[in-house]
Amino acid sequence: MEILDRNWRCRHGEIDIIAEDGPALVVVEVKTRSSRSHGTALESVRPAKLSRLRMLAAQWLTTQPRTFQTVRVDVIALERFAGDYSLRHVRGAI
Amino acid sequence: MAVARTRSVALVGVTGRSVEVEADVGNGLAGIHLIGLPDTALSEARERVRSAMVNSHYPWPDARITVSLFPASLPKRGSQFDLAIAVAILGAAGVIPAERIAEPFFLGELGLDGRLRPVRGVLPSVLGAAKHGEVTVVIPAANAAEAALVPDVRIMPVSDLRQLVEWLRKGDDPPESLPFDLTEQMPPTIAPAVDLSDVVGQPVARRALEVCAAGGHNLWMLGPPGTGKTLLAERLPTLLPDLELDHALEVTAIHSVAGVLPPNSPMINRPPFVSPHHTATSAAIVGGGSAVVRPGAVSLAHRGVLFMDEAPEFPRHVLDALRQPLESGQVTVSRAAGAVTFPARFIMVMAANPCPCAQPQDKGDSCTCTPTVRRRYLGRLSGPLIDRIDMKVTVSRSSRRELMADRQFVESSKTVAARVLTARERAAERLSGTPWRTNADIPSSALHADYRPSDEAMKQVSSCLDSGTLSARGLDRVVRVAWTLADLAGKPKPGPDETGTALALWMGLNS
Repeated sequence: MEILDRNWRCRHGEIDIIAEDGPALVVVEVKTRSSRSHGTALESVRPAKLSRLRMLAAQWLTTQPRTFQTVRVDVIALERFAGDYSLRHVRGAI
Repeated sequence: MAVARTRSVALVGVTGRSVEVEADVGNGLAGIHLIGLPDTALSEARERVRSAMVNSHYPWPDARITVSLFPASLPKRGSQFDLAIAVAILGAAGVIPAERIAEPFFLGELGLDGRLRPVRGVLPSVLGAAKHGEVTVVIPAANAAEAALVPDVRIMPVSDLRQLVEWLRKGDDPPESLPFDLTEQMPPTIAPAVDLSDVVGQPVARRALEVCAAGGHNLWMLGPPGTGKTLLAERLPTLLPDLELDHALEVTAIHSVAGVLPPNSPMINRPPFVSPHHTATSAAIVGGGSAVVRPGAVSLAHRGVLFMDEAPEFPRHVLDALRQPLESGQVTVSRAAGAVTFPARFIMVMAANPCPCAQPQDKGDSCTCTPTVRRRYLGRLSGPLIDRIDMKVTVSRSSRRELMADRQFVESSKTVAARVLTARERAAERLSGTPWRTNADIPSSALHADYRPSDEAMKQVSSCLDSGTLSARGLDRVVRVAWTLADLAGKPKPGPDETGTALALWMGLNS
């Protein structure tokens, strides 16, 4: 996987990481939580957020000359426990 | 990750059907998805199960959870699947061994703190589970007494989720079925506060009530107010014997589904007495409801008495809705969600005033109703309905002398109930080997083939049939009542006396 862009913004929102994985364009949402008092990082990504990311991917593509076969939305959940980090990568959330 | 499978029971009417609950904890965004036609209460299980697990200190899997209820085509309702869903998720997450939960049935609603709440319809649900052999059924502790009525099933009453999970983890053998003595648990038959000897001055109606109790026949009482119609009807249950065990289970199952079971006495062993108000809708009488079809008054009166006081005040369509259950002993309620059949074999007792003003007409008193009004009033009871009533009795006002004279003839409920029991035993003996127990149960075909009175006894009845005053159904009903009269008199077969009396009772010619 190769990172193409980071923290890309437009008037509709922001994409944390834009990457390329073979033929697929991957839009990644990175969620960080320092405690679980408000739920886990993974479950804080709701379906509405995912569909917004999907829309943002289309926005980003309009600024690009090249095309991709598919578009994928991934979530990376980063949690910090007692100075240690845990990282989970969910591929293909939609 | 993993899949775990367990079992629960869905209620269709008053029968329980086994439902498989599968949980898949797998990759994907965290969340829980519930599939298999859940209704709103069941969809909310997601929130209840999650809170209950977290508050019982079990980890909620941070993964995609899919819960499926099989068979997918059967609509599932209510909150009794909470426990099975929680257990399946815990099994899929590896908290409890999956093989420990595959066999037992789990029933119960979870509180947010993990406590297990009682649910409706436990008895029919456990009966449904019992069809799968000797199974273990985990139920809320509050429903334990009700569930224990079912024989050959291991009942595991649980008060909260933690207690259950610890038991499943430790791998102990399922507990022995609770020590439970049915006779001990049956509520002591409380001496009824009402007694037949309270009703003075209505010897014919009292006798009709006795016949009604002995044979399970329907009764119509017509008369001015204050003559004791309601009094008599309320005393009918005191003449009926206790329900036999299989009937008691049927009645208890219906009351459990309706959610009207008294919590301290799980088993209903006395014939129920149901007296709906005349403003009741047809859904309240025959059963209904848009999402969950609930049993109506006719089913709550199953194996008991349905008393329709002020019968002409009921809407006509409500009265006519009684025709199907009166004939077939069951009622089928059809709704968009499907058709549900409830048992509804009851003794119907109707009481009616002769006219709306209800003033006596016999002693030159002041009835102000015109003949048209009077005809219209009783006309609300349709012909086909009247045709299904075995006995029609007119109760009239008694003079002071009559009341005084009758006082020495009144008998207590106990005395009459003993005669009723003897008559019922005679009928049951004659009907042994058939599915019927009382004379009213005998279907028309068997009545003519095996239980036909002698030609001599039938002479008068046949002539009424020929002249058109008696319908074919009426004939059947007369013969059934005649058999009951013979049972009460201790005769082996009804003679001309019995058929004559039965005919008079059918036509309402006693006054």
